Amino acid sequence: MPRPPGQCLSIALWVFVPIAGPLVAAASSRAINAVQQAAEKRQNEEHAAALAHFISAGSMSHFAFYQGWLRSEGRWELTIVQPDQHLISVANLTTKTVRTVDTRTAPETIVIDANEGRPPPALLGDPVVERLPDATIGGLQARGYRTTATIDLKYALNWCGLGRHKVSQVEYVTDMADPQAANPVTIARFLSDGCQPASTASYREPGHLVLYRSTTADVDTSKGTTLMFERGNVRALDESSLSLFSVPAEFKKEP
Amino acid sequence: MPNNLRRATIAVTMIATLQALSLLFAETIARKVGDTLVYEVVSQGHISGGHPPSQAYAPQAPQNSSIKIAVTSIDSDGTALVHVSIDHPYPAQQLANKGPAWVVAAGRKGWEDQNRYKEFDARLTRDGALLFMVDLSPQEQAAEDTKGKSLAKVAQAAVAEVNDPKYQAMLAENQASGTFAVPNVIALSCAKRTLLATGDSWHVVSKANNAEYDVKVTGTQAFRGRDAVVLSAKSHSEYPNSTNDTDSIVYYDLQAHVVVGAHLVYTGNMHANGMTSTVTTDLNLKE
Repeated sequence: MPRPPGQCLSIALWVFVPIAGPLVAAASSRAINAVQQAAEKRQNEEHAAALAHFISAGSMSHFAFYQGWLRSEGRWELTIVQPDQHLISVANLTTKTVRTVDTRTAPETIVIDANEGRPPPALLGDPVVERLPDATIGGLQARGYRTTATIDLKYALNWCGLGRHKVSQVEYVTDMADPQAANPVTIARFLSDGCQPASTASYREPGHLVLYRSTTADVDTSKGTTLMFERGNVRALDESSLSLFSVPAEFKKEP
Repeated sequence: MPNNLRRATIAVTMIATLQALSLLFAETIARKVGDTLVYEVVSQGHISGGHPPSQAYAPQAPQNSSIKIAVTSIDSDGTALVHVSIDHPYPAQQLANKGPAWVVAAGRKGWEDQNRYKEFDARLTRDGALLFMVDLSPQEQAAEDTKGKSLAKVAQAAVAEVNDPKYQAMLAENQASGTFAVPNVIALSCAKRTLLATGDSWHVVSKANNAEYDVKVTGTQAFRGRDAVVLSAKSHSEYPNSTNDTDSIVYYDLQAHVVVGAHLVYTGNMHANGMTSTVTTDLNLKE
C-alpha cells in the first residue's frame, strides 16, 4: 500500500557549545607556576579562538522525517530512529561502523541535566512582537517576526552570565508542519536561544516550520552573542526516499 | 512444599523485600548549614605512543589535592548551596631540585599565592551530585593591549592575568567539574532509578557534559567503613581526529546519598600521531 508523502527533508545550520571540564582539569593540574599557567592560558585562548571560528562558520546537518522515522546526519555521525521497529542505529561516518540498539532489550536510558531544579529563565515585562514583511526563503513563503524582551537568569546559561539580558529574536515561519514541534518550551526559554539553543520550534506559530531564526543577546555590549539557524532544501518525501533510512551496506556492524 | 519451608521462604522473601525497600526509600540524611565534606584527590597522567618530546614520557608524579565542600545554606528543595575550596599543596619533594633555590622559592610563593584563590560556590544536591555554576559567557578583557610592549611587559601582563583571583577560581571550578563529571553521572542517575540491584545497567545521556555513559551495578562492598554500592561507568566518544574514553568505578553510599569514592580513568587517543594520554584520578571521601 503506498504511503502518504512524508513530512520534510531539511538542512539546518546550527552552533553548539562543548564543555571541556576534564580537559581543562588535566591541563590545569600540570601547571606548576604562574609563567607556565600564563602560557597555558594563551593556549586556552587560542583554542577558544579556534572554537569561535568554528562556531561562527557554522555547521550543517541534514534531517529527514518519514512516517515517524527520523534521520539525522551531522559531520561525523548518522542516526536513524525507527520507533515502530524499536530500533536506533548510530553510524560513525569516519570509521564506517554502525551500532544498532533494540529499545525493547536495551538498558533504560536516563537523561541527566546539571540545571535540573534551577529556576528557569524569566521574562521581565512583556515581550514586544513586531511583524516583519513576508519573505521568500528557499522558494517557500514565510512570515517574519521580531521579538524583543528582557530576560533574567538566576544562573549562567552557557554564553550568557547571571543577570538581565536584552534579547532580540528574528524568526521566519512557513505554513509547513514542523515534524519536531513537540516538547514546547517557555517563551523565556525560547528567547534565551541566543545563550543556549533550546528548541527549533516556533512559539509564535506553534506547529509551523521555522525556516530562519537568529537570537541576539546583549547586542550593544562587548558580551553580545548571536546564534542562528537556517533551513534549506526543504522538500516532501515519498517511498522512493526510503533508502535514506538505511545505513549503507558497507558499514561494519558493531556489537 | 512443607508449611515450615513455605513460611521460611515467605520470611526470607519479606526480609529481602524490606531490605530492597530500605535501599530504595532510604530517608535522605538532611544536610544542614555548617556540614562539611572533604574529598582527597590523587591524580596522575601518562603519555605513550606518538612523537611528543622525550620528557613527555617521563613518569609523572601523582598530584595530591583536597576538595572541601561546606554547606552555607539550604534551598527549599533540599539542595545545599556550598562553598568549595580546593587545596593543592606545593609539591615540595617533586620540585626540590628543579633549579636554583631562589627560583624554587619564587615558584613556591607563586603556587601558594594562587592556591589561596581556588574557591567558588556550587550546589550539592540531595543525591550527592556537586553541580557547578560554570560561566561560559565572554569574560571581561583583562589583558593589556600587547601592541608595542616589550616581551617582558607582555610576560608580566600574562602572569598578572593568571594571578587574578577570578581566573584562579575559574580554573579551580573547571578542575573540580572535571573531577566530579562521572561521580555526578552516578549520583544523578541513581536518583532516577527505582531499583539498584547487582547486574542492573542503564544508559545515561548527560546534558551536563555532552557525553553518554553505560552504567552498571557491579556489587556492594564495605568501602572506608561504609556500605557502598559499586558502579561502573564507561563512555566512548569518536571525533574525526581522536577518541576519548572513560572507564570508571564509583562507590556510592545509598543511605547517605553521597559518593564516597571513585577511580576515574580518562584516555584520549590522537589518530594523527598515535599518541595516547591517560589521566587516572582517585577520589575518596575523608571521614
